[in-house]
Amino acid sequence: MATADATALSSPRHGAVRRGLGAIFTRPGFRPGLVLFSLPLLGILLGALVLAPAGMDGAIRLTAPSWAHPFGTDNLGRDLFAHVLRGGRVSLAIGIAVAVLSTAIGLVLGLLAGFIRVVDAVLMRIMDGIMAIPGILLAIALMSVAGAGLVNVIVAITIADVPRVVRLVRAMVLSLREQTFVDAARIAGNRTGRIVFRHLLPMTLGPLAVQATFICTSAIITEAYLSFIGAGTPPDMPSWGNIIAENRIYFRGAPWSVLIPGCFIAATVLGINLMGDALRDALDPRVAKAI
Amino acid sequence: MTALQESTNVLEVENLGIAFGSSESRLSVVEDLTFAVRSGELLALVGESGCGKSVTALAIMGLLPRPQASTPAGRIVFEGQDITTLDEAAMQDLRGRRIAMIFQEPMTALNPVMRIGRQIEEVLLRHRVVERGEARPRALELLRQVRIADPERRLRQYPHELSGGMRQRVMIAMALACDPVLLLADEPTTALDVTVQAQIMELIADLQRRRGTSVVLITHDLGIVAETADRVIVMYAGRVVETASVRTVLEAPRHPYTQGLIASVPRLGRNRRGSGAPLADIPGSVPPPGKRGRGCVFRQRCAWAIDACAERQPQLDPFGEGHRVACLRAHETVSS
Repeated sequence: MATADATALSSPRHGAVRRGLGAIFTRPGFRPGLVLFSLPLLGILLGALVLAPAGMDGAIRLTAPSWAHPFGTDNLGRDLFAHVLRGGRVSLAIGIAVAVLSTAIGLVLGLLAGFIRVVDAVLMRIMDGIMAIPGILLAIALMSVAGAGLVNVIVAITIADVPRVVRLVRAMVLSLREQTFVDAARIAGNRTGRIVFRHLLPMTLGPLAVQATFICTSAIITEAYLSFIGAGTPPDMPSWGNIIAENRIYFRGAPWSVLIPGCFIAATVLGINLMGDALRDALDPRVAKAI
Repeated sequence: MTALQESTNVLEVENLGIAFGSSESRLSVVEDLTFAVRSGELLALVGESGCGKSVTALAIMGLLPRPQASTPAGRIVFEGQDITTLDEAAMQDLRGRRIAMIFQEPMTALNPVMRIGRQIEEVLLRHRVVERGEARPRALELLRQVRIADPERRLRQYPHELSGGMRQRVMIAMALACDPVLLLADEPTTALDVTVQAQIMELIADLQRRRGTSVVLITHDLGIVAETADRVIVMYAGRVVETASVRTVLEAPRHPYTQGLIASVPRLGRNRRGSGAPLADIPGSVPPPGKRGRGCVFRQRCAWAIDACAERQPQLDPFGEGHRVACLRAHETVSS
């Protein structure tokens, strides 16, 4: 008993992390999500580390998948295997960058809006304004002003996604701040800053992590839209979106050139979303306990 | 405890007035409230819902909701210092360290995603009662003091893994962490089972006796008051209507409202004695703020009301040894 106490007293935090991560594996949906996502992820790693950029070869334009070219070739005779796997790097980077940026910015703005009335009044009207414009249209407009480029795509999609995070965080803070435990924390003598960061912030992280996974996937799709209509990454930087865009006119003769990158987008998006759901459950101690 | 300390007042509330709303539509919730809490005593603040008990506690804590509530009128003197004039930083230093509070709802008063141990440690570390390394053993010690079963395990648990009674014990442990001079207990047992209620009250009374902490017990349960309180303040519609020792209030109440409260407590065996009378109640309800008008606030519900009652609010006049009543007809209202 004494030794058990000693270990329990010395490691109060590690148990939570271990149990949280352990719980995520037992959630239905996590394993299929992991498998779905790991296929494109392996491909992306392979593309980034091993494969050389696909060269053009006029002799093998639009050939069907074969052993030499597992995904076939496109109109310029590029090997789609190398092209698609290298393109995934850009798509995934955009998804992750947008998720991290918009979550971080949205978290700060949402906490401010939830706690400071004046900020709330001004900031939320701006957010309403941004939300009034459909995200994809806003991104197209921003891209047309800023011009094609990786950073511009990330910035444009982030601007369109930030209000979703702000609204979520603000709503959580507004309901959490009225809870008795916040009063109790005040009564224990805690300062506002400490209450926000120690008590309220951790409670927003679960929903926020889930929101981040959805933003990541929707950013991947938005990037594909943008590239598809020519407002995304420049043509010399392959992404799943612009590979589909380049090949769509050959869809009848060479459907693989569109379907394969499409499947990569679908697997990535579905895989990340499934894991996001599992993460939500695992982060909630009440659900984690029930497993 | 010396005689000198015994006679000192830990808290003196003088002419406290609390109003809500803007300047055009101010609603006065507590008016001209005066009482004192002596060192080491358990003072019960009794009254039905909406009479200003909880708001009074929040005012003492300096935590009235802003901007809905205006700055309270009157003085709240804690340990010789008027705390209504203190700035927020000074109040934060008092809260949790010198004045602690426990709530009606132990279900929601603990952070649901933080382990019990860390929540207790947070209070200890906030007021630098202990060094970082000593916080955990001290938290364990506090849980032992509130006689929680299996305290080592509780430290590692989340609030949802504990029963209501256990959570209230944790709240009490947190409240006592810094050895406060004054503990405000806002209906600490209302949300609990009857058997657990008795245990919790016993715990509070026991800790109060052993540590010499003054306790303000806010309740509407006269049964609890009878068992634990030293003195009673009966509040009605934001005012004190009667104050006396617990014996006097229970055995010889003078204010018709106090009499009504006591008559409306169900007693086992009342019917067997053959009276067969239904449980007494006080007709009507507390008039909402803004509709209290001039005159005695209780007169609409009072069987003893006369014309004079409508003219002015009766003063809280001394009636006997430590007994004060705010009723024009206090001399006539002897219950049979």
